[in-house]
Amino acid sequence: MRSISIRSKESEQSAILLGDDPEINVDIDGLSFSYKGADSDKNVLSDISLNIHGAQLVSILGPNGVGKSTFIHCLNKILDPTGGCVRINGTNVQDVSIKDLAKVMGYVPYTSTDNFPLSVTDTVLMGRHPHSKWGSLDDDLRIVHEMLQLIGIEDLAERNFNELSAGQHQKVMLARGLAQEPRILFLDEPTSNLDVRFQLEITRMLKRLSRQKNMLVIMISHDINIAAKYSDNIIMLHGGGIYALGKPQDVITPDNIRHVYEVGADVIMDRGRPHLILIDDDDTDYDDDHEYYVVEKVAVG
Amino acid sequence: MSENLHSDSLVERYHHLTMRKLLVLVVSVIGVIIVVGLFSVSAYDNISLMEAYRIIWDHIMGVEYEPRTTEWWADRFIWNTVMPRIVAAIVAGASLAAAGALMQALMNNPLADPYSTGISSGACFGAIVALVLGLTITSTSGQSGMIVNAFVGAMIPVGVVILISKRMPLSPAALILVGTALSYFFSSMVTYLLVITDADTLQNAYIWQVGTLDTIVWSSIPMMVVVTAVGSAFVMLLTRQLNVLSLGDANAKTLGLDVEKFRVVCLIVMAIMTASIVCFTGTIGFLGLVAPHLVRILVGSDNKFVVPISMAVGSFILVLADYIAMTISDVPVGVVMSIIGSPIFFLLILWQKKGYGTVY
Amino acid sequence: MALLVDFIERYHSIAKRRSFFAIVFFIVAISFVVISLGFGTYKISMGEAFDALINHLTGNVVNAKDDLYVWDVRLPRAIGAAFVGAGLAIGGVVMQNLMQNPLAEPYTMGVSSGAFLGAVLSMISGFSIIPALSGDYAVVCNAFVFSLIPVALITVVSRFKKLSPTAIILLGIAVMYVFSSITQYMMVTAESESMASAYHWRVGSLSKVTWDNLPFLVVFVTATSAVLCACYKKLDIMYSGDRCAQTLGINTTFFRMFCLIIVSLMTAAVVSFTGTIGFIGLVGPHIARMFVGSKNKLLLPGAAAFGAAFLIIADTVAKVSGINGLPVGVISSMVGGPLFLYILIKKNKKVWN
Repeated sequence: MRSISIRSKESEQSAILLGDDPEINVDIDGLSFSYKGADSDKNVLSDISLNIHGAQLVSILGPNGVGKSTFIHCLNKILDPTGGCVRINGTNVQDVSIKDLAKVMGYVPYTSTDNFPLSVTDTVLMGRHPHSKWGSLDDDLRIVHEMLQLIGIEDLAERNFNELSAGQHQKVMLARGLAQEPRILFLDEPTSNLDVRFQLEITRMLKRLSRQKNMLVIMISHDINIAAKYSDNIIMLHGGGIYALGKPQDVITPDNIRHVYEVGADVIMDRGRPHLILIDDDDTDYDDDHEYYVVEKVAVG
Repeated sequence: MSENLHSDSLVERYHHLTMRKLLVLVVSVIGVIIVVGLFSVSAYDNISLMEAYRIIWDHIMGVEYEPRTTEWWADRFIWNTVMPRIVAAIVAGASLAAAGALMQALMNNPLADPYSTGISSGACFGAIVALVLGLTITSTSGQSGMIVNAFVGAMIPVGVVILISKRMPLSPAALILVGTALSYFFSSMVTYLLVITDADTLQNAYIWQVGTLDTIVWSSIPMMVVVTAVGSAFVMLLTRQLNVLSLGDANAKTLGLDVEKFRVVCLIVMAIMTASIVCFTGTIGFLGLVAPHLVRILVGSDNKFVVPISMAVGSFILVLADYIAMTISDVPVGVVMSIIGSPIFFLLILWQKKGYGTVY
Repeated sequence: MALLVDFIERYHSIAKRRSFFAIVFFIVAISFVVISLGFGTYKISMGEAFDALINHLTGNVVNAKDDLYVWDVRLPRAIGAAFVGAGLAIGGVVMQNLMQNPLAEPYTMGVSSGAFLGAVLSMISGFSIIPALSGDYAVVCNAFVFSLIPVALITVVSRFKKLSPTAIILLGIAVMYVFSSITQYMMVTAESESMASAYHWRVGSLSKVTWDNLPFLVVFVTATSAVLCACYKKLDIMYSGDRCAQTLGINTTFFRMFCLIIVSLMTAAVVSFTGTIGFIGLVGPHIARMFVGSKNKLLLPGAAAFGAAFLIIADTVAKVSGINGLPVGVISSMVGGPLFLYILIKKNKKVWN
């Protein structure tokens, strides 16, 4: 069963962090976060309670600066929440060492501004670090190869990471996140630099992997339609808290979009999924002289 | 209505900031005046602070005293012993601070200072060649030969930097790296010369390196004043472009600024300003680095204000440091500067805001 | 399946090709240790020097004077040069990695200015951190202890405030300035003779390395280098930035401080014996990177071998130039400056942007 719900207050206890447990249950209880020192003590996130159950694809939506990335960073311990806690199958994330956490949680960052001069293979191989033992290099390489094939970038294997384009970077980072073989994978706008084909392919693949590998995939997205098309559930953040959550068709509604993003929108249903069409409220007509504005190809010679 | 309120408070805040800027400016000017008085009193024991001001004023107004009266003696002492170094401190402080503000804006780097392109080590090299080997570019020896050598030496690294950037466009970070490499090279030559020389020459050279205002005489002042006046006027004219440059090279280009050319022109101006000071005083550190930072903390980052206020603050700091250097202990002003400056620098770093992020 | 086997094989063969350079550097370094025995102010041919070395090892010393110069003076100095060069280069690799800054070097933390202050305190004002010591021992001891102050300070600050790599560099520079301002004051007010000897101390030289202090140097450099080399995988991951490294299971704050302390220990040991030898720590890693790539598994040993070879050559030049000749610190900076400039211009795009 794949579900997502506002968390009820009582919580069940269990012992270990995932391990062989086929169930994934992420319990977020009263999570708050504020950046120290910066603009007074205004909370970026305040009192978020949430339960995510089952291997699924969850998308986090929300306008710029609402705290989507901060939210994810609180979940995987990059930031320490200032209030509340995160439990995975009953174990508090704060009690788990970074090293143990890395065996279970993967993270694909939004930008890779850090241009490092390693080959793509070595970069993806980093993902194996949490699992690595002496002499496991060839096994790790096998997994790296599998992931490169999965993302379709075997041809880049020997290129240096800092020679690649933004879209290729994104694919490499994705391969690295997958090579980590996590049970929970966080992605920060994983398809922002990709062309339409790969936006679809990668998101579809993430959904497929959530089933195949029994993995919970949580991604931040600005592409509402892609999120709606593939996500099992959607979390919409607004004003430091959860504005709406649930199935795409319940969350992606004209009212929600208008309230959260402050733009008008129509939602049509396309193959059982909501599809957003944006409306510009400003109806100034600029199209007075179509003949005048021309872009055309010029024959040479 | 709410929009009105908003813009009202914005105007109010803007005025508040303007007041602050004025305040900083006025405080530093008053500071300079006070230190000038104290300095003058120290030159001749038998006068009060007020008398000192009156004597200076009278001198400027062209009043002649009866020979061999107290006032006549005081006037002579003040004018011949402390006044040259006071004027030099004021001018050098203003010039180095302006050059520092210019470099930091130009390189988009909070750690840049007038010496970042290797000017100081080049100047040192020139001066020490004169001091240790007795080789001068002009046939004149002694003080003036050293000054010319230092000036020319200071221009060499900048010349190389500019030549390289003509051949290939360099990012600000790469410019600083080139400067660093050049200054290491010149420092190693300086080190070599100092290792082979005798102990006394070594100490003299070392003191020159640290920077001192003891040796300033009236004849050095005109060049310092003229170059500083012209240079800082030039910098003031460019503050708007400097602000644009703070958005980064790519953005500045799309706003119509020929970034590479602008940078080269500014580098030349900055180099001449700095070299004209350094060749007389030696390499006084910290001022060019710290003064603009202090000002930015106090009045914000608009170069239109940062440059002139830095000049005032720079003058005040250097005059004060020189006063301390002369009265409390007889050490070169450069030592006082670094002893005062380095803890400030330390605190600046500890209190740094996010914006100070990228260094190189 | 064939694809996979091919993929794994190619990966290994690239690694092998790269390690070839590291091995070449090593061979060069070791042969230079031997060759350098033939150079110096005492005139002796390379063959004779080699004979003297063999004779000493086999226990039948023929020419006592030859033996003295080759075995007691030149050999420890050459070995010292190798270890100092290797240590500084490894320190440079690690610092550039941890600080995510191509300009970082082992002295970035203020180690050298600390050592100099310690030495100056001992040489000019006769202060010794261990009262029982005096003379050269006090200088070395002072230098060692003072050179560790900056890293200690940064460690303390990092307990209260999370420090970014940039902040660490800046703090290092600040401490360096504070120290050198005190040093400046002492130098300027000192007698010119003791000031001169302090100045000479700072300019790096390997002439102070003898059989007595060599073991200390070798043990320190070997132990710390071994620890750093053992971290090669984590160092690779640090390339990808703190956040990513954390999600891959590395406690970045702890790891960075740990490595900084190790590098500082090593640099302190080196500096307190040799003074400040610049540029190997800065340029060595960049040059090694051009040959063996950026993977730390190869880069660390490659840079070490290059640093060792470079410093032995530089020191040989220093020896040949005589008593009043070029100190090795000056040579390495003189060669290193333009070399650095060249690399900078050649690799402008690739390394820096």
